[in-house]
Amino acid sequence: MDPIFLNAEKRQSKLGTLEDAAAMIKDGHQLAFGGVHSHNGPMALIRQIIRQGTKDLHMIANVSAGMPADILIGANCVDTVTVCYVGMEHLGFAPRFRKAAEEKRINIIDGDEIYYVLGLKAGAVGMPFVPHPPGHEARDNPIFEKTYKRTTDPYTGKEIIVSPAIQPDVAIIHVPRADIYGNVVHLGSVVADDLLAKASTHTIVTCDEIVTNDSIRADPRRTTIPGHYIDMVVQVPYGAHPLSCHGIYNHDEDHIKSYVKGDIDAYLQEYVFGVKDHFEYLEKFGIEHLMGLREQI
Amino acid sequence: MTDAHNNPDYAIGELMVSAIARQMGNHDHDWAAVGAYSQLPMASMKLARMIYAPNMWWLAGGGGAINSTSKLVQSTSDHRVMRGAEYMMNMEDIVDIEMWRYNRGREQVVGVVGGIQIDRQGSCNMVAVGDYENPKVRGVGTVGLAFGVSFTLVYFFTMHHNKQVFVDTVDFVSSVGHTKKRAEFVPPACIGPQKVFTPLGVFDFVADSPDTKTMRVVSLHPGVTLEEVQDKTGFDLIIPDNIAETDAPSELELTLIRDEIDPDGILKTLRISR
Repeated sequence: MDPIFLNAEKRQSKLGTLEDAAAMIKDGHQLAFGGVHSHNGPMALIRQIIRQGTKDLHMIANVSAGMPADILIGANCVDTVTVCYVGMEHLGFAPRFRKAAEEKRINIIDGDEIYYVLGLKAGAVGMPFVPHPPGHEARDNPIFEKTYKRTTDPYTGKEIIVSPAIQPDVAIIHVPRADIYGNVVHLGSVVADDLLAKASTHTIVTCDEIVTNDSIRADPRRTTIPGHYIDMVVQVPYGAHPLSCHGIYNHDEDHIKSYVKGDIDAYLQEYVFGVKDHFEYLEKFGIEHLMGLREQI
Repeated sequence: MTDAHNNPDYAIGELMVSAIARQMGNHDHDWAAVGAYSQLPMASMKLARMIYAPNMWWLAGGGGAINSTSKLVQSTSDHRVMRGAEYMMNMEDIVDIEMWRYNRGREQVVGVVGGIQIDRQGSCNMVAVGDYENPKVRGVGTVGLAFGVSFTLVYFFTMHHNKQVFVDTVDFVSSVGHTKKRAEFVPPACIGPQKVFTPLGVFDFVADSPDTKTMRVVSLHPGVTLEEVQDKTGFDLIIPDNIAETDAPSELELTLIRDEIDPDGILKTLRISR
């Protein structure tokens, strides 16, 4: 039986549009995004960010970033990128990241999984920095990357390596399901989506399906991120395409291959600037193609 | 002598999967991780669990699946890898276990990883070829190779064996090999790279000074000569008196690979070059 909310009408929906969401991301922001490789990236929102002409982003590329990082760089939205991994997995290097890096058109902060994950953890709980265990002195990241610092461990008196806390201005994640209050249900890999929501000042969720609050309360053990971390929820069917949305559809490998091989300006013209919204983007692929990507686990 | 690269009975990828799986027989009850772009080690972990290490735990890359029994797919973080898995790790889980040595020492934590450059001493580079400030090739980033100083040990695999991959000294140390700096800074419980599996052979590391080690030939794949492997390596390998031929995959291994692990034949399509 449903509980009685005497003030139920006062509980506010967090629903917004892609335009509302993109407008939260300002020039110069630190922008983090969720997912991993060709999976669970908020691609529709990223296309909207490009469409609105956002500039000078400091992109906190996800732990293993592919097309979302590459296309933002290719569209000249990015000034600085915190790199753990930016590549296309079995499809090779991320071509626009590589070119921009080799031409020195972007600033690169060369972290790694410890820098990124423990940095976000520190950001989430307000710790000022991350002390690294011994051994990392033998690697080059703390030598070449200047955001690593050294300090003295007050307990042992030994010199230790530290890296900064990471607190993105805005995190954007794509998930299969959420309710209008921001309660999120993943149907596959969470990766660092939950950590991003905790560490970031604002978090925007795009989702393939809006579910009822009743369905969330029917089994709270399935909720992967509680809604209090979430600022806005946007329903965007196929919002991860051409990446996968775990539990609903596979990644569109042929399309991602053509993105890697093709000309970035022609791609942006055809799939970002040349369509008025997300549904016109989807229409370019057609129902048969999109339905063919669906696969449950 | 047969030639592993032109053998009608098995693909070179299948031979490498067999060799890595047999190595994982040393790690029953241990914990192993593979990264991205890892069809070969992913298949090896599945084969090892079936034959050589039924108690081994393994992580399929950034997707977080533990002990997946799905058929082989291209991406380690594809949601189809979840099939048959026993747990899905998030990134905090992954970092916790990959730095596990600092918590307890009851089992070995093993990484099976690749790199854009691997050097004589087993250091590995994923960041930049050439000068760091003016890179000739900008790589993908250090990613999980950071754990090279917290994993108990590391095995390398490569899809190519040439002088671009195997260099005398890497241009950027993402993961540290058997260098003087390792001897100075890395806790001794972390013993570093142990073997390298390439399309030409299997290699290990032996002491060339009190503090450092160099790569040594262990076995060559059928049809590969010592001249070829030295010619395609950018430093002088240590050559032992006896060099074995890498064992060909067994009938049982090939049946399991083809019927259970990789029914779609992904291993046969990998661009592996000698």
